[in-house]
Amino acid sequence: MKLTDVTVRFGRFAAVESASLDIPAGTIVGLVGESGSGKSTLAKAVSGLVPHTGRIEGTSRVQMVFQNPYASLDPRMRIRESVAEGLTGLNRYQRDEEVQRLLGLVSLPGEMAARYPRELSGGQRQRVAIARALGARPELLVADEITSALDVSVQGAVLNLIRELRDELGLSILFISHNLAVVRYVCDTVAVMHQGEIVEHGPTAQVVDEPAHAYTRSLLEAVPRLAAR
Amino acid sequence: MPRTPAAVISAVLVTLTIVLAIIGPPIWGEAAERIDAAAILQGASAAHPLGTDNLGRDLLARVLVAGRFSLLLALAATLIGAFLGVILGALPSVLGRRGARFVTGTVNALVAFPGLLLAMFTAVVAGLGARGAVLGIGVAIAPSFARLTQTLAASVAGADFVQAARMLGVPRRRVLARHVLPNIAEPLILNLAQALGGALLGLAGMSFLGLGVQPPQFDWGRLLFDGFARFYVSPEVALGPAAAIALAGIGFNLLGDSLARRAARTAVQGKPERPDAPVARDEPAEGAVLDVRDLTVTFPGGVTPVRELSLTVRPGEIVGLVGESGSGKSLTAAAVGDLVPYPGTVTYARLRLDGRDMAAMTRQELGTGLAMVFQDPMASLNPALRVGGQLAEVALVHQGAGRAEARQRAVDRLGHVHLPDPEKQARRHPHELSGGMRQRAVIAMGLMGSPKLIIADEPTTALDVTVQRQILKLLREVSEETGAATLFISHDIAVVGELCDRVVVMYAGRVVEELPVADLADGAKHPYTRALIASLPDMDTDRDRPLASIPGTQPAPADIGSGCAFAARCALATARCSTDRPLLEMYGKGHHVACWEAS
Repeated sequence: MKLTDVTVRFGRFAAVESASLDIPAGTIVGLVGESGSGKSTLAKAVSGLVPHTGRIEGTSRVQMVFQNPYASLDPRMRIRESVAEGLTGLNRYQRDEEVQRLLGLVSLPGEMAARYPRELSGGQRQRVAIARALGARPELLVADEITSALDVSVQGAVLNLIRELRDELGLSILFISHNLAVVRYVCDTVAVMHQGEIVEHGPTAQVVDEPAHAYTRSLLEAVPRLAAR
Repeated sequence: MPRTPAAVISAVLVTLTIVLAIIGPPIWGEAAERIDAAAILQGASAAHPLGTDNLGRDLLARVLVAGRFSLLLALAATLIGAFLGVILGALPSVLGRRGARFVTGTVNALVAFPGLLLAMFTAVVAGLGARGAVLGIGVAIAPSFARLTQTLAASVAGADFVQAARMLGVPRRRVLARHVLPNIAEPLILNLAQALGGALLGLAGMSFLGLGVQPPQFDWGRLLFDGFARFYVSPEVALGPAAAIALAGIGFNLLGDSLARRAARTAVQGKPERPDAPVARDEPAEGAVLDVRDLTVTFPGGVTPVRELSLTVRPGEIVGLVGESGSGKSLTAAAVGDLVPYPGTVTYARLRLDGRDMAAMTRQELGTGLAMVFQDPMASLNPALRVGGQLAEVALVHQGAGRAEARQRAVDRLGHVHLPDPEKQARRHPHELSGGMRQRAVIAMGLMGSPKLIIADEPTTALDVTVQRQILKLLREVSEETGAATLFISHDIAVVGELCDRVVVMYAGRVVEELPVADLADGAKHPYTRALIASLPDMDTDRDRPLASIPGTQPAPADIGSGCAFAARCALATARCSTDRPLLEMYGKGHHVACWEAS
């Protein structure tokens, strides 16, 4: 997928200013920046949720996973129904089979299908949301801060899952986060956004170890480290 | 249902009305229709307690019989109103932008139009009689239902799960049927009961105006209409139907009220228990600013989110309290600040601030000796007041300073937390400041007194990393300068590791490990602390290996057994762990661990 000069305006304010970005098949591209930097708006433009100018080419099958797993599943629907929502043209038996396959992909036991979201933990709900998105067989998955509402002890499992999905399904993922350490761990390439513009983009190791832009450097310095003192 | 008087009265009234509607006609039907030429237009008597009408029929019997018809008409009108209203209210979610705007505008205009006029107009157009009246009241009820549906649907339509369904290509009609309507059904159904009461009154009003039920049919309103002409001669003939209408109407209205209240209040009910305060087994810690022994927070129903927590913070020291959501860390902070929400109860063997029992301190002493900083700075700042004025208030109220002096001090404190141009910031409202500046203003507010202890509950969680770094630096500066002790609460062990001198790790309401920050990275002993550190990706994590994660979830406060709360998720757990709870044991200087298997 290729973004060329994508601009999103709200009135006079340009939330995203001529952003260009390559998302090669089977890679995870990280998008980091602070609140208001335009990273979530760019994700929405990619997902077709906000109008934009510029070209977004390469794929039409985009699915999104949201930040808050407590709000992204309908509390009145069983997991089975939620996951099956993106499935079309299947009979009842095939649909159940497919739901089981999708739950398996995100390493959830099949019997979860009969449960309601309130019976699941935050990490499990986020897996369900990922399974639902996978049901539409997307070529690109947009993950918008998917671990920031989760506790640290379950965050690791969701991050591992994202990497497995890339390796096993060859899925391309646009991974948005404000947490550089998380982005560094998960992504193949990183784009840094600042005030609506992509100020730096390159392989993760390069951006993290030899940041070219001053803003990237200030972000890196601010990351809290356990053994800092 | 809560046994409030209103709930009981409504239950009785509604039951009576329904029973009357069922048994009325078969029992008194004949008496209500019996024409007695000898007893025309009589007042109250032993034979006819409410008198008779112009054909000599017994009015009491007629009131009792009319209940069924009145109720059925009201029910029909309510259903028509609800049906029209829900359709009208749901249409904007299905139509395109322009159609939605048109429907919304129509509903707004209808809501503004007087209901009774709308009802009369419809009734006149639809033709006199019961059918016209029912249609009229139905149409009059519809706009408020439409508005309610629209508002509720709009709140659900913004939910992430609806966005997700849209992205999956689920058509709008299906989204409405599967996601929106089921999630708004409850308040709509509650509203039905109230609307039924309203319809009952409205129909009676229509009949009373002569626009409703026509003879020979009769409902309560018609009886009232017939009796009203004789009101000055024999008032009882009008009072009977009037009382019936009023009681039934009140019944349904109260029922709607009680149902709504019940739906809103789903929290556990019960009496707050007041457990006995434990007795301190040791001497107060020497020179500590905050000295907490065996702090327990209990909620009704045996829910205990904080259990026998002990904590000491020394002058100038920053102690980090770290744990996942639900570990009890924020409630611990709230308990120290005397802010535990009702109906929680706090007990402790000892709770001392700067060597004094906190229970004996006045609000004023607490106000100046203790500063609290929360995650959301807007929780501490009044959006309607200027920042400087709010800070000055602390000095005015707690320190008896003069107005000019208080203001001077406020500006000085704002400068102290490195707000650029403090004079100007003091004149601004909170919404004109950025998140980081607001948090600085809150810290400055805490510094208006001379705090011995600063409690900071996730103060940087809502901030960007670069701003977070500045606030952490500021907290460290403040503690070094003023010698105040700081209790820093966070879910982020990396932030705690960067700022604090000592780290206290909580799990399921208890302290599981307490250690100097130098030991945190590779000297932690408790398997939970170790797992927390291992599962946190940092800038040095090996990218080729999967991240550690802890299987299972933290038990809810009500489900904690007698053993170690972490046993079910622990790789080292043995049989003893699930039955006996390990106590905090000394593992080195300033290092305590509660684990049987730690080595």
